[in-house]
Amino acid sequence: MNHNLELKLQAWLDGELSGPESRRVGQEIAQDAAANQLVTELRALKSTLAGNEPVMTISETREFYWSKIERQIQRETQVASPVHAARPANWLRWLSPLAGFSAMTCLLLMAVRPFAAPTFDEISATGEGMEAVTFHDQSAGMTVVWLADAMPAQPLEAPDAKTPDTGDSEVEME
Amino acid sequence: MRPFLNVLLAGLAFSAVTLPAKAADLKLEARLIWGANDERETVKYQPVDSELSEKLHRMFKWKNYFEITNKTAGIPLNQACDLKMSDACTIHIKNLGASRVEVSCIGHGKQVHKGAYTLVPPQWLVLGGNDTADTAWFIGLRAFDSNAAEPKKAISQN
Amino acid sequence: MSQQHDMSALNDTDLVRAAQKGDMGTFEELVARHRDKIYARAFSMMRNEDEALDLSQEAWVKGWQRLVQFQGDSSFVTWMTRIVINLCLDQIRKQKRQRAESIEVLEEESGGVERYMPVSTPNPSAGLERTELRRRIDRALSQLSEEHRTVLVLHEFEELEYKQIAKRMGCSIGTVMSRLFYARRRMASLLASLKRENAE
Repeated sequence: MNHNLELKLQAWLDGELSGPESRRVGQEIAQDAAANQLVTELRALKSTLAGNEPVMTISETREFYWSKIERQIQRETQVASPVHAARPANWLRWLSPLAGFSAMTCLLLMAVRPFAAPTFDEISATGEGMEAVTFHDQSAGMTVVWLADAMPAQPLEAPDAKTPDTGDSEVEME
Repeated sequence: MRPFLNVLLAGLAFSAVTLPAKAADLKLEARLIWGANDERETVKYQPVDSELSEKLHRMFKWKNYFEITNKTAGIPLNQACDLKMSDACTIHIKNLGASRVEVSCIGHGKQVHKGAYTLVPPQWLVLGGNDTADTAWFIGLRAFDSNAAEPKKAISQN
Repeated sequence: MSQQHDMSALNDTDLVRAAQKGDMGTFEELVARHRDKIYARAFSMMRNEDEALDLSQEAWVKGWQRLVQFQGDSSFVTWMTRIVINLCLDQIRKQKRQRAESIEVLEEESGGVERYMPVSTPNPSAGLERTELRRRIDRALSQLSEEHRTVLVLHEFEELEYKQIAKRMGCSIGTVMSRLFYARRRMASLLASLKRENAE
């Protein structure tokens, strides 16, 4: 079974396919034992996880937990007072010749020492359907660019059932 | 202000004279490597040299790394060249100067990746991806000093 | 104490309404009521108690700052959960930028091995008491990579659609589908092996 079909079966199970597509895949599942088996496994896991998210409790007392939040809220609502910039002192004009000397010294140093190569590189483009991840191993002296298949961002047809409003409009991605 | 500018200009002129002339040509080698768990005896290709083998083993999970193709090229500044690594794979490399290269990886006629990188010897740039049946392909690029001899192909003793 | 007792009798809607007018006491009641759920969501994603605690508190601070924007289209706790999820995703992204990933992690991301695993059909929850099941799920979740755990948590526990997950994670729908598929196969495998471990 190819991976595309596996993902289609998953999307069918999750209700992400349109009506006609969903019916077509449903028929495939009914006729193909391997497809049926995969959907059964995925469905079993779904029902296992449903409602069984691990429960966690905070051990801190109510007051202590709240006190930190309250302090942070108060801190962030205080208006910062502006810092007045000090006027440059007269003695700064004496630094100009020193600045020139420093610049010349830097240039001389750069002339006799090789440029340190920049550590990080720019990725310009990766083909459609690919993702690139770059990482560096200084000790191995190697930069790796790993190209992985991403499913092409084919728009799935609009699902039949809309899920209830989940507050998307109220919370912006940061 | 004027004396300061004079000092700065003098410094610039001095450094322009003393800056070592950068080699215009970029000499590099490119290797197409196959990562697999197949035993060496069953594969017709030679393993990569021990130095590269060690680096690849540190990073990746495959048991062996086989050298499929090894090519060298000298690319003048602002020029580019194509290196055909296999029937399915060509890399297009442009010398941007100051050890910078633009690398395009073309697979089955389509560009799968393009990026600008710094190649300072003896560091490797490795592009890689999954191949079929739990194997992987890699393209290793390395620049070498213009005065150094071209690297010899060495067989891994591992 | 009696003020707390009075507030505990109020529903979330009334508390939110009062808090939106600036009553921090009612907001504190909302925090007390839902702090475990928000913390649990953060912990599911971050798998680190201290980080989850910090992020949950940061979420409450942001919740207070944005409370006027809450219109009641979803439940208050759902709204707060989305805030903490966004904070967790930001934190995960920041941590990724700060460290190099090993190729083993990348291989896991692409599902190189598990994609080829034979399908297993045993029901991982059969015969398990709920507490034990949750404990095993928690243990299995800790063994997934961040990306896979995130997509699984957002889909299975938060019940987000693919496109909503893609938007939050900043990736394509195709990537979400691949990661979810891999995460599920891996979870099934982990739960099955935990079951075998306990049977021995």
